[in-house]
Amino acid sequence: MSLGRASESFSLPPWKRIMGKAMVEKQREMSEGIFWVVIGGMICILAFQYGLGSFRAPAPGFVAFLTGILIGGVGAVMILSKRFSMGRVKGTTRGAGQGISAIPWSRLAYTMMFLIAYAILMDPLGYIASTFLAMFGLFFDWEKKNWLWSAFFSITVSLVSYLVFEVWLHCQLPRGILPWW
Amino acid sequence: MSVLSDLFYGFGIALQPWNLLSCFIGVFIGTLVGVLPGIGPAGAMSLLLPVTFGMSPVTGIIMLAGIYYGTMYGGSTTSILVNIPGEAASIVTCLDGHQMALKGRAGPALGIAAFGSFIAGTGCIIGLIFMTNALAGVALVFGPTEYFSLMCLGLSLVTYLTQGSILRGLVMAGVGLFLSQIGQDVVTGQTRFSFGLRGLIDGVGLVPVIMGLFGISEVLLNIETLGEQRAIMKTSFRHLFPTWEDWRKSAAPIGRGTIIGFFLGILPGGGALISSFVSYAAEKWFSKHPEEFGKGAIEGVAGPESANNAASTSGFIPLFSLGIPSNVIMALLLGALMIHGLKPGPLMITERPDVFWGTVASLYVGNAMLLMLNLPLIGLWVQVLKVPYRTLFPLILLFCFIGAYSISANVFDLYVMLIFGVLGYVLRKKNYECAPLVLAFVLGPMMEKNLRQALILFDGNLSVFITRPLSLAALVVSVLLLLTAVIPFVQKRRSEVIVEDD
Repeated sequence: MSLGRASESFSLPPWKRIMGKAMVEKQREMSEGIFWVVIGGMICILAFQYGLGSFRAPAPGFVAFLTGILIGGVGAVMILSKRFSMGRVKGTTRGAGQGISAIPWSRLAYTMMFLIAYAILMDPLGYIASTFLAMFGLFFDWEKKNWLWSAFFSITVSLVSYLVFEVWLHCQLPRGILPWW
Repeated sequence: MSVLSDLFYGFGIALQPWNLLSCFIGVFIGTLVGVLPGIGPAGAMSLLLPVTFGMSPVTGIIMLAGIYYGTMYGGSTTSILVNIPGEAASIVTCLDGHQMALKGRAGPALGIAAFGSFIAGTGCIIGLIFMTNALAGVALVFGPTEYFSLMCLGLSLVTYLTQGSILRGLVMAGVGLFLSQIGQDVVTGQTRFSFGLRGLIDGVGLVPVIMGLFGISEVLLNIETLGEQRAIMKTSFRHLFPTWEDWRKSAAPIGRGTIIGFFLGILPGGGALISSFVSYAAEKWFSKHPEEFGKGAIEGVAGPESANNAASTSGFIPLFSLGIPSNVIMALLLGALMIHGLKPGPLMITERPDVFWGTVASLYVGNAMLLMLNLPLIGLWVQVLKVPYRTLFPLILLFCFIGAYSISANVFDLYVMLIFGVLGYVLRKKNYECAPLVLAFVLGPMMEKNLRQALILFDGNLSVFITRPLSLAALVVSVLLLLTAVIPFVQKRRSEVIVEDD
């Protein structure tokens, strides 16, 4: 166990070993603060272009300008609080703190690819055809290679959801290449 | 007497066949959503929002409200049987509920959760009737200064009560405020921050934002652990009714949970989650055997389950009386009411009594339906739990797409939803909460309108915000809450409390 930890620490780059994990974390949170200062600044500039008006007659950019100041100000406080404190507030959000390497990027990218394709194809192909393609991709299990199961489920889901939402609930879904539906 | 006749009028509306059916659909879907981890009440309500367009406002609101309190019931089932909360407000039920199930007492745990929720929901409806009327009467004298300051207080409270850093909550509120500025200016009608995109001329849609932040991002988080199996308790459901001893132990916790949930539910940001934690802590404090908590104490199920249901009912009070939503769900309901051409606020009770009293009566009808649904159908919910997430997540994504698209039949909304889905995923990974963003996004236009009205009305005199007592009080509390973000001791203590709660 100790050997594992020792080898792990030796695998870290020298600057990381010197600074320690807490310092790296602190630096990361400071960069977060810088990010928000930049975002706040950009909002202020955008708001300025729409006019700020005066307190007597506020213009369309007035509240957005205040919002930019709020975001930038909080970003500045983030930087300062990390600059002067060594402690850090523990996060409790699910998935937070998980190492980037632990995230299954391929699975996320695969899902996102189908979602983006679904959004792009929904209008030209229509609801039924695009839903079938998207559902087939999402139901398909690359380990089990369940072609038939995925195809059956995709067709069923496309048709049943069409009947429920378009025919029964009168939601407006695109017709695309199947205009008679 | 007047209240009683108004309530009878409400029951007359709620018991109409279409309203009964919409209430049933709402609570059924709500329970299903509560049982299934991966889609919350906000996502489910967003999905069904376009469906309500063809209904009368009261029928639509009854269905959406049913989904909300239905999830509170359904969430307890997964907490007790699988040790996975179907809904955030049921997290605390896992502690003792699942322990009871491990000891072969899943039936009484589910039973007391359902009965406690029913009793709390019923009790809170009475409070809701009187409190809403009283608050609405007071709110009639509020001006734009008071409204602006109250909205600031609401946002500050939500930010303060978010898990993790207050600063991150504040940034999220700021981002939500900015997003609400996109589109046409509320006063001059000028288009702003649309970046030349036609889809942004009318602003960013609430439903795609909520679907993205709460639906898509939740799925993206869940598919990280796609291969993991859920272990479901094998238990007999023949004895769902708690024993007399169970009732004796649970009576006081149900009463306390109802009171705690009722008052915390009114507070912006309080909601079902906080009230369930507070109720659990209170029961542990009141108990003569606190050491039994976490090992299957029925009080640890009865109190929090009553509290979360009470809070979900009392959350309607600020919405109906002031037109200010206290949490994301109420923000969505506010959006739904506005889409139906209604303006929630002090005048709604007199201008649209059918919507107010019909919804209030439907809460009672819905609670009775839930009691009847949950106990006999527990076997069905267990079967639903057995559906693997691999089969479930494409369906959740499909519902998100249908919900976002059918709002305005525009593909642009799908892109917005996907962008917010990825944004929500990244934000949650980075420990940012999405609730302040959504609440600020909904309150933004109202805050801007009231601020600018107040400034124009009082000739740019900023002191008006501190010379009016209510406005001053709201702003002082807001500032004090936010100052805690920079006071290290308070920040440390607050984070410790949140970690303890978890």
